[in-house]
Amino acid sequence: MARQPDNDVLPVQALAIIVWNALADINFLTAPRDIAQAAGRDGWLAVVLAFGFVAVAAWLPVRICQRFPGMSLVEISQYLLGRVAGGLLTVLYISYWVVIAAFVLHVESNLITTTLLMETPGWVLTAYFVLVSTYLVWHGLEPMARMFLFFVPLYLLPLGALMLPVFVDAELGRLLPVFNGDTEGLVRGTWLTFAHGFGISVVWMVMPHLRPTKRAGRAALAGVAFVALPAIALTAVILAVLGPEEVAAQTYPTLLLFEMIEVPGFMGFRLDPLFLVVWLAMAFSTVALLQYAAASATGRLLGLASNRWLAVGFGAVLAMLGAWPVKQMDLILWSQERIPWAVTVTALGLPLVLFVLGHLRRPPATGRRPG
Amino acid sequence: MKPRGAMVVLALTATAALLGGCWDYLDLERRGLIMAIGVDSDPENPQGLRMSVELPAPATQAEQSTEGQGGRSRKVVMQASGASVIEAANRLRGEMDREPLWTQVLALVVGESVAREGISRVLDASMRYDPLNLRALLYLTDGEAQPLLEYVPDGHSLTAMVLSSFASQAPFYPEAIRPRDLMSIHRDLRELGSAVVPRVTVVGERLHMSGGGVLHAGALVGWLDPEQTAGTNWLLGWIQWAPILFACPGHPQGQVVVLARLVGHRVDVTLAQGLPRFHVRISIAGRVVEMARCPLDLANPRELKQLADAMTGTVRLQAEKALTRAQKELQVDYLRLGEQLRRRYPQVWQALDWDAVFPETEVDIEVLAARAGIESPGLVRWAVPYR
Repeated sequence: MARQPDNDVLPVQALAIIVWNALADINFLTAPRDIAQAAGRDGWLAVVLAFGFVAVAAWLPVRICQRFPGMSLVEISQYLLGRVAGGLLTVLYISYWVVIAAFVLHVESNLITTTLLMETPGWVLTAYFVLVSTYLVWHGLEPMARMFLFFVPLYLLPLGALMLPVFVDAELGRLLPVFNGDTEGLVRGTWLTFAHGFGISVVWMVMPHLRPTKRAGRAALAGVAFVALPAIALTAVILAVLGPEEVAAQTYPTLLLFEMIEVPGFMGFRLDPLFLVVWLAMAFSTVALLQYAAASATGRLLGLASNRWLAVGFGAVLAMLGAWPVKQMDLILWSQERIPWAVTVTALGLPLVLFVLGHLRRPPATGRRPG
Repeated sequence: MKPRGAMVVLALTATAALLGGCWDYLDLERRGLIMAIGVDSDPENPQGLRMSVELPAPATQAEQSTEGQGGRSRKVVMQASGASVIEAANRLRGEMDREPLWTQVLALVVGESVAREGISRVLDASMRYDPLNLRALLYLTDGEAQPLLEYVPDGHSLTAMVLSSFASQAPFYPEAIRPRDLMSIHRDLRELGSAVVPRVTVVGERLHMSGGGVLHAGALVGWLDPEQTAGTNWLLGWIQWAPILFACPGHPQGQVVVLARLVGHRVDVTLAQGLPRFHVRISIAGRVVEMARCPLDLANPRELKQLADAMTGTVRLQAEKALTRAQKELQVDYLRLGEQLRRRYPQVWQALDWDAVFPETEVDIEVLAARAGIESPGLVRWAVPYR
């Protein structure tokens, strides 16, 4: 398929879809474990609070990019911080996106080899994943957004259908008392929840492709809300069904929740593979977006006209990092100790700095348009 | 599409086929569906476990309603021993002519000796290892589990099916604890420190579910008889319908059976001098289903009230016996009262050594006749006029 020149031009509504896909991991798999470990039965409260910060993290790059039309993180940071510091900042973000994508790949391969394909080497699954994401990134942002649109029913229907039967087993008393005074736990839970929105910084690389950008803020917040509502519902349900201690003890609590569903008339039939499909789609879109962001930022930094071969290169890097032997316990440690700091810096700390600097300095007469 | 593009698509498709990881695919005909598991102490090694498994005998599946073909059993029961359940399960491979499939297990029965030591050796593996089915129902037996699996039921081809169908009977059968899956029992033990589990035994030639076993910190600490179990079910609010039998008020030669349903169940906790006091309120209503030799007139409000009072009194007595068993004899809070305290007064709960306080805690049991109490006399208004 020949790439059309407008393959990278998106309507503003596409930003909502992209933000949703960048964040959707909050809903699934491991986030409830980390949240419950920190905030206990107030985990759902932590999720409510965290989405306030996620909304700010989504809004900040949008607002800055609206002030500097046509410019991405690469150009804005160089304009505000100077060529060297701006370049270093871009390299920091590229490294972050690559590491986070590799992290998601490891979680994905670990999950599949633990539950579904026990005899399949993890690197094979990772390679397969990266192969498809590279193919998608090769064709640009617009096909990506279109494909993510297909994930909407895939996301809503199974998740809704799975949560309803699970709710029968929910005992809402497990959520009591609401806020038992452990402020430190609630704050940490909020922070960890926020940290699971590790894909939000890709907005920096998407904004220059929006035409127009006038309502991008609303679109970004709509994307956040689209994740927030099911995330809060899922966290409350999982805590009410399994209890905070069990959620914290499980490696993949959400998977367990759906494994317990018994469909009348289908004795022995398990629904957790259905959930796995949903999660894989979400993980895939997150990886593809991160890969795109890394390739796009590198292309802009180097002044290249096309990002295609960069996407391939990053795909190879991701495949290698995905094949790197990592223990499951290391992944848990990373998700609870290291990634939260990285997400805080890249999604909130640095954007705040750029936001302040961006309002202190007048935008250039013409912004650089995407190549 | 250009030839080059077509080649790329073809190559990607071929790669997908190779990378799917399905090279270990196995036909169902080569799988051995394990439907029930029994775990006992190994008679030859006190530290070890003996696992029994029940599988359907595939050749006779079409003949489920008969006694089998040519005297062949409708099922296969196999045993293996090991230091752990996983080792014992793996040793089954040495005898099985099919690849064992554990995901379809319907029930897990733990023998008394293993349960007395603690069921963590059984549940930890189930929670940790994905191929084991966490939805399997957990039962305890006062003896060995193996004979239960070897028992050949009349109405079903497998013991597993009988144990599975017990779960649907439980809401209407208060004399047994409601069967629950491994995950729920595990959650109770983690959350509350105790759990009640149904008991099954082979009585004569029948598989019998009756009473329950109390697990504390994972170990079996005592059994509940049918009456204590009924009371426990009332206190926990686990009853849907239950027949309540009592003597006809003022006419002891007659007896009444009311099919009662649980209308409301509420546990309140208050603090008195820093210690909790519980108030369990059970609301029931029912319809008369038997009144032989009982001359009371249900159209008379006073006599109707007598009947309702007798019904609530019977339930209260059952609940009090269950409370005595929990507080004074076993001294284990499987009635979830501590959980109510934790929810209402978390600081108090944290400050107390609940295991020590529970036996002396005041618990008021109130059984109320909801609405009219006796909602219906059934299809006839008076007792039949003959002996």
